[in-house]
Amino acid sequence: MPFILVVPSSVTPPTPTATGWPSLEHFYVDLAKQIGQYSRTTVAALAPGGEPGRWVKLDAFIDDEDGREKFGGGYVYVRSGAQTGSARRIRTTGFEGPYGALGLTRVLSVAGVPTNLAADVSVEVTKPLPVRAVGLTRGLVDLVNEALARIWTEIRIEITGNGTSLYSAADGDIPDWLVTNVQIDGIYIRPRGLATTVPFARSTIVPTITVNGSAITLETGAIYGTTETFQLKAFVMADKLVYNGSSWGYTATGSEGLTNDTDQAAVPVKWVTPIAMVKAIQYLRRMIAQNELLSLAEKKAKLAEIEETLHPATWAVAAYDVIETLLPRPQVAPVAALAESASDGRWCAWTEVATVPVTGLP
Amino acid sequence: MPTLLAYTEAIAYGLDDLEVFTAGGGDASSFSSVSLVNADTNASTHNYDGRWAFNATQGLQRSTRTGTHVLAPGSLGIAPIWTPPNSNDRIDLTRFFPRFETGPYTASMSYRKIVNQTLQMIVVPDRLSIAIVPGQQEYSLQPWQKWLDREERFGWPDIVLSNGTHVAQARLLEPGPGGTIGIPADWRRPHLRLDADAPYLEIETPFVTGTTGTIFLRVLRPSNTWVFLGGAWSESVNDGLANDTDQARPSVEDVRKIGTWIAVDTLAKRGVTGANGRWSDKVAAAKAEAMSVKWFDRTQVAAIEQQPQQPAGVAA
Repeated sequence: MPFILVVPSSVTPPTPTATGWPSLEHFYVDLAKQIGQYSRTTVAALAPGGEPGRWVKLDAFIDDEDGREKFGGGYVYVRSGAQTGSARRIRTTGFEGPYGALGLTRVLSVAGVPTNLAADVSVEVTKPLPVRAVGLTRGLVDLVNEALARIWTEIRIEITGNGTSLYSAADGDIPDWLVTNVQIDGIYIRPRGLATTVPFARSTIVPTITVNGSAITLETGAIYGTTETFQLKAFVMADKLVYNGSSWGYTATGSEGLTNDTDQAAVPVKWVTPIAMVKAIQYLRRMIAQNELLSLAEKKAKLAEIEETLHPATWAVAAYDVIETLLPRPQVAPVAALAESASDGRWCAWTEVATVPVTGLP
Repeated sequence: MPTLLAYTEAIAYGLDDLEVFTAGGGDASSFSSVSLVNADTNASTHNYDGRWAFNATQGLQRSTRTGTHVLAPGSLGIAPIWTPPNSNDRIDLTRFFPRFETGPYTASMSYRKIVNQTLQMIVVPDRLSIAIVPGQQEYSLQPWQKWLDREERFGWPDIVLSNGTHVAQARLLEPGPGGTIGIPADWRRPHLRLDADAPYLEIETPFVTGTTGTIFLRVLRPSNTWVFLGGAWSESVNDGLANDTDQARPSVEDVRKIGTWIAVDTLAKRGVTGANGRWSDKVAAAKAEAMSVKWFDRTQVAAIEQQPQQPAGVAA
């Protein structure tokens, strides 16, 4: 059963401050473990000498036998200390096993001065994708947000009546991301005269979203007084409704998604990972296909390697199952066939025939 | 390490061109030796005509005088005059080339020249230390400009495993994590830049601010450029060995093979015929054996074959 999150209609609702949902960190760590290699550990101090900022020494990685290519193509992400948020690529032959040191393609610095990481700084090492984007390479965070952008979350928007049956986004009555009828699925009311402890029940009156250019209006079909509160059942993309570390709110248009490690989305991790994996595998395939340094034979070999190691079909099935059976989805009423009036030949009103679900990944 | 004397003996003995005498004494124009004594009064006095004579103990190069082998006391005439040899001085007699191109024979092809030319054609691995300068992309290689004249000097040959796999070796080493021992730095794309007579090491990815330490450039240097002279190993000023006690790194056998080729090639250019036929008939085999030397610098093969004919000095 999908979880239902109840939030007021304003963009920055003060209550509730529901916590305990998965954070961005939960999402990308799970994705990292599925798509390749992942480790979180702490840095050991480097003795003075050599090139500052070039090396990350991890005692947990010490191995006297491993070759220099072991972590080639991987990435380091700094989670704490003065260089928090820095992401670097590991040199192709940049691993010094006896020292557990990773050589980077670009030095770490503080205020522009090349500087080694301090001891006990927390870092994450991932492969084949970075935690956050490095150069043209997208990060795990980007792929998590891509998945969230394809997941509907069901919510109840509490609206205080205004004495009419019309509520507009321009007036702040409804969120501005409600742009289509597909996104709403009924109004829930508390029978008049009953205590506020009585649960809301579904109204038989069907609301509609009316779109007139940029003007969006919710037509409730009934008049609610200024002392009445009703709930609008709606569907919002999981990258739109975000907990930013202190409260839930709607991200601004163009800035959807989770940004900080502590940001939360109202979706379980295990629902997001299959969809994120599908997007990640698509991305890896694109990177290979667009890599002009590879010959056709090399591309084919690498693509075959993805088939063998990541099992795209399995993840596609898992994502499909999540979308089809677990995720809430708006129900779309199909366009009914027009029936000609028997009396004057004019078109009759629409007739609902059946509902079909909105399909999953584009 | 082998000495000039060891190299010379290997080449000369290989050509059957060296006889060593211990002087019993002598004067300004001769030397005596029990090895020269011949009780056969009918023996020829011309057996040692046309030879080069070298007092190895005193480093004096001369030639023998015609018909001056005196059988009974065992003496041999020398020209031009020299410092009289002392008892037990070593006297070398050779036919094809003088031991040293000194004294009256400065323009002559000599065994010392052959050895030094041979050493020039054998490369030895070496590592040049260069102090890191943060931000700098060009490092002057002026101290080694005499021989760092081609990109082939950079790097060491691949290591070949028993299964035939070639393992490339890095050309440049940099300080490792925390300034530890040198680790491969070829990812900085080092290469040689020649600016007329001035060679530079160019590094496309320079070291960042705050870097300390030394980079090591692996090279193959001609073995005549790093020699043991005067009691110490050093960069050679005169391109090779000077005295019999001076040392170089290649093995005696490697020098013998290549030195023999140079010697035979020189004799062939003279149009000389040896006891077993023409020297020109032996050049191809000598060259093949020379090029079997592992560290043979093939970039210099043309230099030898285009070498002008050396003055013959005393014809063999």
